[in-house]
Amino acid sequence: MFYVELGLRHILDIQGYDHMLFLIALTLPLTFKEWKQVIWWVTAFTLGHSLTLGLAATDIIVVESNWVEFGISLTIFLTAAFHLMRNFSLSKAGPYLSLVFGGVHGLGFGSYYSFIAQNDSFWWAWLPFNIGIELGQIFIVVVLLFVYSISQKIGVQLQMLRSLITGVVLTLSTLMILERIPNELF
Amino acid sequence: MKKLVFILILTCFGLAGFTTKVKHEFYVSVTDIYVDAQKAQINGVVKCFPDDWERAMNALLSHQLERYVQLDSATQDSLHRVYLKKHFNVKVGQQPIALTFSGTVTGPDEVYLLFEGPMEMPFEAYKKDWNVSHTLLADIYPSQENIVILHYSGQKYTSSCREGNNYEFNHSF
Repeated sequence: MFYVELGLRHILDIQGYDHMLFLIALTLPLTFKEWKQVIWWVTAFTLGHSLTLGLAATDIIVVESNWVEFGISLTIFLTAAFHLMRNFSLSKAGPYLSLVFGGVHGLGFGSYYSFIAQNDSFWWAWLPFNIGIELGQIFIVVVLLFVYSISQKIGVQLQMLRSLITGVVLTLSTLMILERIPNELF
Repeated sequence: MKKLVFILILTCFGLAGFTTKVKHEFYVSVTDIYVDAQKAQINGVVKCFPDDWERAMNALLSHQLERYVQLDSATQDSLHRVYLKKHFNVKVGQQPIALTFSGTVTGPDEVYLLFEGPMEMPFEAYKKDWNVSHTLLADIYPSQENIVILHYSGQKYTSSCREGNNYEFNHSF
């Protein structure tokens, strides 16, 4: 239970809001009506995330943290841009996008997880940790969809709200990309 | 449409002043506490990141001109002893365990602080009423989380001391 709680706190940590920003970008075209897609997309993110987290924590995949951070900001920008270009229509590519980009985000947790799980049974802690992350993600997405739903009910045009949120996400992710460009690129 | 573009531009300019420095930094330590019936001893190890630990030690030396890395290992160990005693306390059944620092092992990415204490009660008494207070590095990093794993008679319990629980928890096996 401790590791479920740890995973939950980890994803809901406001200081690391880049994961939240990605979830906001990911769920832009979704509403409560598409609840099946919502589950698929979020679960695909968790699968990708869990897989690379395990691989990074066991040093099977080794990527420098500055490249991971850069990659995370790129995934946020690309996801928001993808949905904007498709005018927020549902895409069959959604779960795949989620799976691959989730993999990039998982690399960011690798070193942290390997440090905390060394003393405990590594894989025994891995499952509950990722369940916690999944629960945290579902919570964030449900809150987002709830905001969309309420906004619609009070007369806000969903398309306008989505455009506005996309503007915010694109701006923040662009700034993140610029701040995180690895020195090796120059 | 023009209105929408105007709102977007305004939002973008507004956000340009917003910091995107995402501090996804984790301040964490992991402590194992064992009840060793054979040695009639409570022992264990605290693991933390070397740079975090060095910062805490330098804070202890703030009134002096010396830096932690300049000290010899005996002086470093005496600092470790003082710090650990102040920040790490364990009680079982209201009785404090007299834990003493017993050495340091430094790895490439971790510092291990070893500790031990006498087992002054019968082994069975350590089954319940544990109270662990662990404020290691919390004086330096408010978001510090000290994960603690209690080991007793083949059983294991994991919890953590953090700001949310006043860096303290209780447990009975």
